[in-house]
Amino acid sequence: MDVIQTHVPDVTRYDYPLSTERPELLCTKSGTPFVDITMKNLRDGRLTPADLRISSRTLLLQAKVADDAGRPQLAENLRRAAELAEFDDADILDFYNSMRPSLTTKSDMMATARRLEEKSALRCARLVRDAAEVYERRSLFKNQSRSTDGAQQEAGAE
Amino acid sequence: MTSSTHPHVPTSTHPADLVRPRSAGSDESGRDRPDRGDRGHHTIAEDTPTKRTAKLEQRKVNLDGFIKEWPSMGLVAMDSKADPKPSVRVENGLVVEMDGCDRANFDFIDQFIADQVIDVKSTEKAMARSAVEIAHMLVDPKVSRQEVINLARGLTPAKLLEVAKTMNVVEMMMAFQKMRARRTPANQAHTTNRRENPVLVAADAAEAAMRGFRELETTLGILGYAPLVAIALLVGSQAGKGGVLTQCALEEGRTLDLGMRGFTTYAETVSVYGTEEVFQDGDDTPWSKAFLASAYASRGIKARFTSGTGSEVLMGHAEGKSMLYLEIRCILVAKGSGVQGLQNGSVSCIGVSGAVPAGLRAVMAENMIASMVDLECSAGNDQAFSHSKMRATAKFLPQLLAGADLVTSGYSSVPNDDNMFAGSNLDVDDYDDWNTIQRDMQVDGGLRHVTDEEVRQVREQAAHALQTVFAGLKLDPPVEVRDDEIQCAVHAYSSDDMPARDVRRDIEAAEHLRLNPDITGLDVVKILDASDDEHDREIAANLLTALRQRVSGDLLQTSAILDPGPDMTPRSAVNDPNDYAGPGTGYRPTGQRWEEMKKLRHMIETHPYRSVSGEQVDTDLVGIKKKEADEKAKCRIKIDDTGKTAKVGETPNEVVVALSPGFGRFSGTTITGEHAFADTLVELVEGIQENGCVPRFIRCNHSADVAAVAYAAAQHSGSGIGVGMLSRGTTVIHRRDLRRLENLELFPQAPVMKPDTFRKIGRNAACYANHETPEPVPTENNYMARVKYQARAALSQIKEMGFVNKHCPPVELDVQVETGDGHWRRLSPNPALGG
Repeated sequence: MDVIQTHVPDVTRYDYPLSTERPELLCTKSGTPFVDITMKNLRDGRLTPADLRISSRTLLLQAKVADDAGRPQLAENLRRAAELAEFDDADILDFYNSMRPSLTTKSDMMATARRLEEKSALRCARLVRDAAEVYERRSLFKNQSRSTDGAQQEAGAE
Repeated sequence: MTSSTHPHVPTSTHPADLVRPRSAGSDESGRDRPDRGDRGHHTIAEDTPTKRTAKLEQRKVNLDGFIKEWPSMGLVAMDSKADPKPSVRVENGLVVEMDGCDRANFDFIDQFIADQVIDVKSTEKAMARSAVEIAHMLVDPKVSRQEVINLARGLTPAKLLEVAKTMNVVEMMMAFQKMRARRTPANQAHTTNRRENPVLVAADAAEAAMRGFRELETTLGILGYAPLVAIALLVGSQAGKGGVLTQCALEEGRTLDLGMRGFTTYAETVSVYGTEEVFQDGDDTPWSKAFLASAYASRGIKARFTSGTGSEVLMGHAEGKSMLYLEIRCILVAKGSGVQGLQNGSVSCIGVSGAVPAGLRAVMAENMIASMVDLECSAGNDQAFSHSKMRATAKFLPQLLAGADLVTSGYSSVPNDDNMFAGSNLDVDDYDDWNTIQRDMQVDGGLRHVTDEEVRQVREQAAHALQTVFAGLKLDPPVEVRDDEIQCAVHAYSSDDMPARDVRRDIEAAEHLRLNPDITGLDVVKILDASDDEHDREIAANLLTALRQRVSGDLLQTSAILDPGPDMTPRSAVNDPNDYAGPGTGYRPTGQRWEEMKKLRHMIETHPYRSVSGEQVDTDLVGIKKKEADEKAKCRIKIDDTGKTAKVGETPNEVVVALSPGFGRFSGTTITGEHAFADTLVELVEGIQENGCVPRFIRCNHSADVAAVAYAAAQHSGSGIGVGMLSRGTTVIHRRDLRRLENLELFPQAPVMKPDTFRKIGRNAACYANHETPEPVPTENNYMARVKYQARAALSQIKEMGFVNKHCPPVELDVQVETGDGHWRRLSPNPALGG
């Protein structure tokens, strides 16, 4: 279903730890191969802070390991993480804040869902939409009238 | 460690206030013995508590808070009338009823669990099983872990509660032993200090890592200090063999920032709660927490949630439900969020769970249920919990004995006074006790004994590395680690032993660090790698290996830790799954790990003259002291085995003293090393002489049993009275007509015997020889002597046995001692001259 996932080779729990069993499959967010994270390359200035960031692809590989180990919720979490790996730190804190009941409105949450969907973070967007539905049913929004506006906007957008 | 609130909790009037000993002079210390002479002369008021009650009042356990159950307020461990009855109904692939509640009325926790956790395909079948049947599956080693996990996917919170309610603590431990995720147990430490001193944090982290902790967490009173302390923890944790995960517990934004920059590797700050109200008080929901779980994973940071019985009562929103029922909801919220693990076991609310009846049974149950739904369980035991050491020990035994992914979620690697998580159930003072219990029970609590030399080395390396890092980071304003700080950090017990730092300057530098996101863990590696110091470069290499692991994602799998050593291989429930299936299976400490666990600070040296190269030789301090005393004492005594077979005496005032086969041949003092034979024998002989008798010495060769030695003495004595002595000091007074195992007086506690005791023994022996009936020699009862000396007594007996010659009859002895002024004195008539 996810476009991104079709490019990820199959791995099982027997490929774990990937760092020792399948290091050739791993790369950092900046595209540096895992095996190139060495002291020599660091000394030569070939590593940057971005090389401390895990890549979406690695997270999807780990999701497959988790699936194979019989842990569907963990696998789902790692797939959401693969989507979030594409976002900046500040965006992520924004998204999180839009899910905290006292600060948010339904329209804020719908805006978050759309921002996520724009970068194909469909699973995360689903989580946010599900949450908004429950928040509304359980009257968690402090300002339900504003949230109604949001719902109308959202309906229009769809 | 939860970031919990601490509202006022009503506690019952302290029992100590109700009963106080009346007579002020009687027993203030609780240790004085009643004066026997005065007994019966006082009239005692009728309501005066017994002296035993007065003593019990002073037991520390009575300082703990205990409270009556109050179910409607949630002050009940695991059984409230308001706890729902289990039920489930699925329609069109959707849970439409759970635990007696229709979907339309689900609160958000119900809905999250129903939609994210309950497996709609299997739930109705799973729920059809009885609670007892499921409990049997948990306990029975023949039912595999996987089978239980498959079943648990369909169980609702109320059903899990019913299952736990059928089980006692031992059954829960059996279940936990099988259900914990990782095969090999591990342990976690708190590394903090009251003054936020980063040099001390680095040194303490290094020592904690060396002692075996696989995770270290810190937190701060002064938030602004965080980046410097996080770096100190990171650098220290990678000294020595490295491979330790670290975290800095702060509010979410800062925790995430430190993690993203590679200054920390895991996070367990995300708390979940069992009621909607409490969740909302924290301005969160299961969905926002699930989002956070993904956020941490998206940066390669290992995360676990935190929960625990008692938090909802403390926050005043328990809805009348039992603590365990609410905790089960927390466990399932964590499961549904997709986070790999959970820190539970009441954690920072243990004062509430521990105050109600069966509270610790509920705490064990929450650990068990976390493992039953396949979460890593970091099992609590991380908060100061009881004034009573006995109760504190009882608290952690279930988790230690059964084994846990992390047996404690925060053993204080600093003195509890320096513990910024408000103190732990165990701290630095308890290391040797913990190591001893591991060794006693052959259970793995994740720690090992380390020598002071190793500790000093690794603390020095860590503090020095931090000096290098602070100098290299070029912060504004510049901060440094001074040489005198390093020296203090190496030897410190607590932050009181550290010189003051310019805290304001440190905080400004920390802020500079925080605001420069380009400074990351890689810079720390670079600075250390460029150092002239080889240990700095070692730490750099360890640190880079640890940082690589965050981009591999291997730490995101369930219950992942890093093995120490240059490769730091990840070990998790994926490549080290718990395979317990009954006796003879699963994890047991063996091989190298068991050899490591056998070592303690002080061990009785079994072969004092055979020193193994590389082994420590100075550990048996008592043994070394005795060896020195023996060498000196042996120079003060000459025992000549004349070769003449002992005769049967004829004079009626003779008392024969028989010495054991090895007496004087391998030691010169009694068991404690405090009393030379030269002195004890002189006292004995003078005691005999005081009452008009004459001593004669023989050696018993055929047996090293004290009864047999004394029996031989009596058989050869002119008066029929004999005294038998073993090398360690054990003594018996015997009489010819008694059977071997009978005696007149027996002195079995060698450690409490002093020279004066031997004089009294001599006097009494002479009394018996004169056909008088003396008062028995009073003996001291030191019930701890056995603990300290029994193993040494066994060693002494092993040596004694080496001199036994079954076919050799007793021989006459000529015993001479040096009396301290250079003069030698013969203790009995010279057998060479006698007839």
